[in-house]
Amino acid sequence: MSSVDETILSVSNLSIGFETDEGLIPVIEEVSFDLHTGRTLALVGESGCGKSVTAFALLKLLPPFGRIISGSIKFRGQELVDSTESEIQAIRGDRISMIFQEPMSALNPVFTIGSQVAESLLLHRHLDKKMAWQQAVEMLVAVGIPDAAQRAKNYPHQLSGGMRQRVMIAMALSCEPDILIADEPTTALDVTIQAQILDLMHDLQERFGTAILFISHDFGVVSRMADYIAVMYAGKIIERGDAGEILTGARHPYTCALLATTPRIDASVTRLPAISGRVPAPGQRPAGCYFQPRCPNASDHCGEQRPPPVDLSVTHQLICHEVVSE
Amino acid sequence: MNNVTIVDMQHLCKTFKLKVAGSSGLENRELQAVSDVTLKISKGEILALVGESGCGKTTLGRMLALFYQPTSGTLCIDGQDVIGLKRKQLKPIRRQVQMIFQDPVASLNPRHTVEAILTEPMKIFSLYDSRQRAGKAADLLAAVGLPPSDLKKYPHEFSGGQRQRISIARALVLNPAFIVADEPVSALDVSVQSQILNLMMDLREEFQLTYLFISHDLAVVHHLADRIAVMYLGRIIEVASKHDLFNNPVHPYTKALLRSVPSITPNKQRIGRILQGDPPSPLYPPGGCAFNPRCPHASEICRGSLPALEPTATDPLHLVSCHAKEQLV
Amino acid sequence: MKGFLLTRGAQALLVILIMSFVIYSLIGLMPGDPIDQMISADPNMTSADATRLRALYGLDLPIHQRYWNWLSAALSGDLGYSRLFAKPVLEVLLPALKNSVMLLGLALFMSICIAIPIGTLAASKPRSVFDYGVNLFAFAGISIPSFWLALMLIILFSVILGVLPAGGIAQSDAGFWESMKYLILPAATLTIASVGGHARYVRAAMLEVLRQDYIRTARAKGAGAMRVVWRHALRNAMIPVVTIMALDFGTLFSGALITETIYSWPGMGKLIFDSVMGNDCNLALIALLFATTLTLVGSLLADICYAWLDPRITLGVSEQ
Repeated sequence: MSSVDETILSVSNLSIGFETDEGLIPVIEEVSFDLHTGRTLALVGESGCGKSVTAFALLKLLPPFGRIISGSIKFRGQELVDSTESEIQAIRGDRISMIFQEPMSALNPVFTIGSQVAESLLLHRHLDKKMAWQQAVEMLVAVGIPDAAQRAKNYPHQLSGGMRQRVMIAMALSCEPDILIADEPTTALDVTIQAQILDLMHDLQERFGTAILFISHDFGVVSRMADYIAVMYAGKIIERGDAGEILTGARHPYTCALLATTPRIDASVTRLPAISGRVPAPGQRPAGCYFQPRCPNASDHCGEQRPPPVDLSVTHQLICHEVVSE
Repeated sequence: MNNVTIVDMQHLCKTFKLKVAGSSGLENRELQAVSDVTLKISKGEILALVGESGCGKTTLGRMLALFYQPTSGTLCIDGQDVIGLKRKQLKPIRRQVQMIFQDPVASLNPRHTVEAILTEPMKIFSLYDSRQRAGKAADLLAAVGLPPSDLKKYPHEFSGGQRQRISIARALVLNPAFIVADEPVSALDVSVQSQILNLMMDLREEFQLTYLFISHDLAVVHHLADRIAVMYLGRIIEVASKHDLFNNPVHPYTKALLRSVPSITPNKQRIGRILQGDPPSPLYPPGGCAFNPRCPHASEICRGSLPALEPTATDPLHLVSCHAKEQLV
Repeated sequence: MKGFLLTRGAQALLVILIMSFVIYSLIGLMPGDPIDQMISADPNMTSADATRLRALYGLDLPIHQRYWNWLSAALSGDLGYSRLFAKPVLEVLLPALKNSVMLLGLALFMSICIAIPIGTLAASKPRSVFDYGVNLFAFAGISIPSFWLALMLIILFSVILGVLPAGGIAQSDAGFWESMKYLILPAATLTIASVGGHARYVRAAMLEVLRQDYIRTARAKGAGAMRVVWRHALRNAMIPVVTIMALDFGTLFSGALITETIYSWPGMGKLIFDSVMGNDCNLALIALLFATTLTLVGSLLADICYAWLDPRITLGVSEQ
């Protein structure tokens, strides 16, 4: 196992576009972040901000009309953007694996869960079937599935939602990957089951030293999981920092508005502050700052020029015209 | 808020008959979706119904919205007993009760314009002439914050939040007194969610509405509700004012539920002491208190008999269904 | 499983019983009866003779009584005599059934064997040259009339190349290859007509499955494109395809009239046509009932296939 905090994956200036009838439309623009072993980076934003597209790009699992326009994804020194399909296949599920929002639809309905967990081991560890099955059962035990040896013979529809997500996690971690990408892994689950899955991910991160890229729209869940947070808006990371810097010291107007508009159990307001307007669609993004049409602090030049990067600390950065570093 | 009861449920039950695959082929089984619910909703209040998926909160909501006939018990809406009424007799009562659904895409007919969607209820009840109907539709659209030009558009031309606004306008067409809102914001982004919640609060003032707000999201409920009822496996296990429920929860399930809600503070760590396992299937409910297999305080009596929903010793308005409630207060 | 088969068997018997009455009545409603044909064949017959013959054969009875008589005879094993062939019905029917099953079974088997791989490949590379090629081929197969195709094949392989017989069937003592020779052209005609439709169906089902989340999961696991398609997607895609194939299984036994006629293939299609046109009630009735029965067997097989392909389906119950 590598030591904690080592940079294991480095994304720089990644831009992604979708081919449409009107040509190539940029969806993700110049996104940069690092993942560290044993640490969790949360990518937060509302639907359509590009957080899932970014995650899929790391494994080159973009939809057929998606293109990486520019930028680099370096995993342990290897450039993934130029890698061939067979090189990336060797990494998928072995070094970098992924879990998804809907554990029901993400599992193949016609195979047993044991065989689905064992498949990664067959593909990457070249074990024989019996060994792979045995290790799959051990993995199911590790993610807290009771009576795993019997359960491994079940089909996905025979399990509850929480159990299915545990199976997904077992599948993703069966080859002890360096990186786990979790795309809204608890959004479809009930709150008590969500708590179980979040605790499980904590335990497994501690045990395997996995770096986690945690994608979510929910600041509550993120505050439980994240060491670092990056907030995305309209295809760009608009603010990033340590979890504390973002959750209690956010400066970008969008991050502040998003935090203020989230109902919380530990504070009461008579009226939730709302963000007026809506996210600009890709291809219709304004000339200057993308948040400017909805921003309460916007001034004239916000609509004209791209906002500059501002460093508030070594870790805390944002792009905004109106925030100046102290 | 006055204390006129608008919805009065007494021992309300709903059972579905199903065929399930058992060890010896098909078995007929009864699914008790809602069991013995006794609850009153006062005019003007927002009562939140919380619980996890499969706990029966949607079934209860649909009974109150007159979609399902209760299997047993009594249900009075605005002082009128609705049990056993014929379709025709129910029709005038339907004007009093409307429902807002979770999925604003699926609940609006894609082939109808907004105007058709908003005027249809008036046509069904033969209210006004066509010009007045169009005027009323435009007024309602304005009330939910959309321009009158949107009347000619189709649902797919709107975003999720705007569609939910249209659903709300549709629910208000007949001037109902009582609205059942089943997870109305859970399909929406958080910035849109706050707009819809604010709108629902404004409309409550403007139209003197009473809401049954069904939700799994305790943070939303904390923001919105006056009173909260917690459901588990078809039964109400705790009812209290918002303040009491969040500050002095009594039932072990309510406590676990509240502990599971992540707060927005930097605290990367295990939550710990969380509820293990899954809720039991309502097809095979455990004996005694439904929560006993997962309850840290369960004793012999919990496995043997069902606790009644009764006030705590200190607060007559805080109802809890737990054998150990006096020790847990 | 046992309970399921019993229930379905009972349902099938009921359907067959109802169908037998419907078919019997329809044939009875047709203008003309066997005696009319005898009259036209024998100019010396008087109307009194005809009435006597009608009474002798029970043709003067009301239709439900005639049906009842036929049913009780049929249940005791007497399916009657074919008037056209002057043989017991079964002796006429069984060889024709064997020929049809051979011809259409081979055609269906070939069609499935070709349609599944090309439909799957087309779906895994949508809008590629191969995909467009499959589409073109499919539409050609669907739109070319089978009689024209049959004639073209005869001209090419029998007349010009002279390698295959133009029609007929091998002697019963002929060897395997010799019999196959007669089968190739009619089977090819039927295959070409149906393979396009099947391939398009496989392609559509496959495209739907390839959009599913679990396909993304399989790719995220590191499965290669081939493995994703053939292992993860195919079995799911087969679930809807089985329905279509099972319905085609039923048509196996009603024969393919046009193709059988052009190639002079003595199968069910031609037999049913001849018996209906020749007022051979007994033969027509049993032939049509056979086709009904085997369609029911086909749909039963489809249900068993579902349960085998999809673990969410247990026979007789679909679980939530």
